[in-house]
Amino acid sequence: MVRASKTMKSILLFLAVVALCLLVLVPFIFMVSYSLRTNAELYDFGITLIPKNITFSSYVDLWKNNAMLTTWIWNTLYVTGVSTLLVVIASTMMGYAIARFRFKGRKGIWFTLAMTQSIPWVIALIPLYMTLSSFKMLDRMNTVMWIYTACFIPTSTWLLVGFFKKIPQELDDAARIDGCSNWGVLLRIVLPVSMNALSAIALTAFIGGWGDYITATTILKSKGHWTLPIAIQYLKGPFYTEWTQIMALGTIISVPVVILFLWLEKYLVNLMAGGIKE
Amino acid sequence: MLPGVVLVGFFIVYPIAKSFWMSITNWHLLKIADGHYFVGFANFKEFLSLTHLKKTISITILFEVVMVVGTIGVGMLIALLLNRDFFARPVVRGVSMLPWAIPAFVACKIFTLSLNGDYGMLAKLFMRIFNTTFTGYLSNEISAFIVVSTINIWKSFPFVSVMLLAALSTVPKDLYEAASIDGASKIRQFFSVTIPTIAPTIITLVILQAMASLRTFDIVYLMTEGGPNYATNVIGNDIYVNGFKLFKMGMASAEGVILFVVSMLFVVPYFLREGKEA
Repeated sequence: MVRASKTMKSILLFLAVVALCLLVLVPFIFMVSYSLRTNAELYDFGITLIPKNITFSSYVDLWKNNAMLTTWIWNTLYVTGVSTLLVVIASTMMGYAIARFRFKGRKGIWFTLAMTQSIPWVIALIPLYMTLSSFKMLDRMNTVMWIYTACFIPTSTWLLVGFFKKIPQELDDAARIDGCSNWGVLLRIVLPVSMNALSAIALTAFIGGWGDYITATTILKSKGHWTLPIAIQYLKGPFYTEWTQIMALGTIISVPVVILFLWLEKYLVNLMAGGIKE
Repeated sequence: MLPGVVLVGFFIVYPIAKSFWMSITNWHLLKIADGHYFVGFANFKEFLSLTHLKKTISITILFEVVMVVGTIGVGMLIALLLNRDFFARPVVRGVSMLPWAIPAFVACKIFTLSLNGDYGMLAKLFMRIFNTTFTGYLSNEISAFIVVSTINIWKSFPFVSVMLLAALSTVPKDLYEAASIDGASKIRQFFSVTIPTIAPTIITLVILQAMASLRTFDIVYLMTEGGPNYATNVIGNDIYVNGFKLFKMGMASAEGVILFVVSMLFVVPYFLREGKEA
């Protein structure tokens, strides 16, 4: 009797897990499924997850019809990649300084960082747009890159301060007695034990930049400067919306973040969980 | 340290300060040549006299409530599930967090297509299950709101789940043992042991999610632009549309200032709870 209810329980658990995976994965499955068919097959069939004739023609067409696709991919990689790198460098330095040193204005900076990560971004976007326009900085990829950097520094620093505080101060002190400078301590002692946390920070910054549409579409206007999120909105055929190609591009955009996420997710979970386990 | 401060200052703090100034002047994107001059509270008056003001406010509040309850409800269910032991748990955890990584604009494209009456698989599935011919998911006020909130919840529950999962792992096992010796059922245990122990995390999450839902409007903007008939017009979307579609930068800034003040309602308590660290 007890045994039977145990099997029942594990079956229920299994079903729940399957349901969870479905809930999360169904949109992905739809997307890939749509991208693997011809436009004609979009209309003809009802609910067929696996298309009758699997074809990669949408991917081929996507490349053929959009001469600038490679540029857009490079633009996106550049904007997201460089800003991710800068976020990691800047927030490591800021996080370490805030966690370890007492200096004038420390509280003020901490306060500002916390404020900026909680204020709705759209409030800043309009005045920023006006400012950028008077500095002639609109429609530049570097502008977007710097904005992403600025946007993800607060949260990253906030997370890293919590992390750095958990590294025992004795490690720093020992290194300092051995003659390390502040920079030496940071580079030789703190960084090696923080690699996991830093990759988690990099992951959030990359996901953030890669997934942003609003900022990019506000700043970048000319076609040569577009990033992928803008491109996918304008992907239309001459007569009708090229849904299969949109889905193909969506798949292309999703694959890198999905791989990165599945790879680095555990570090992110650990870093965020660290904030709770006091 | 310094570069980070400069960046955050120029791209976030300065714009927010500027928005206060803009809100009392007559910025209009198409009339920049006329210069801008002090207009007092005219922008605020214009905003308060908008015909859809009441609807915007009530939709924003409704969206807030739905998002907070929805993300924490779904997040809790999934955290409880992931907290159990089963085969391949780390993999399932990684997969179930994927919506976090997927760009919102890609998710929007998938859902727009899947809900399309002609070739959307979801639309056809619903047609068959509920035996209806209804297809205008984004042109009906109620269904548009449901669709938009569902996608938002789908996108944000992973973060909540991660936080809750971390909190759940801190609940001491012997508490459950003691409770079951006292004859408490599983459900009773959940409400009398689990919830009180992780209550601080839940409260933090409520504040965080409330701030986040005030902030996010990209999914709304991409799916409906606030329509039909302002049924999904959350305040963030309204600001963006007023500023960048209707070019009423001054009024949008006034709205931004109001939103700033409202978001302080969440930021200040968040600070009092979390900001002591420094």
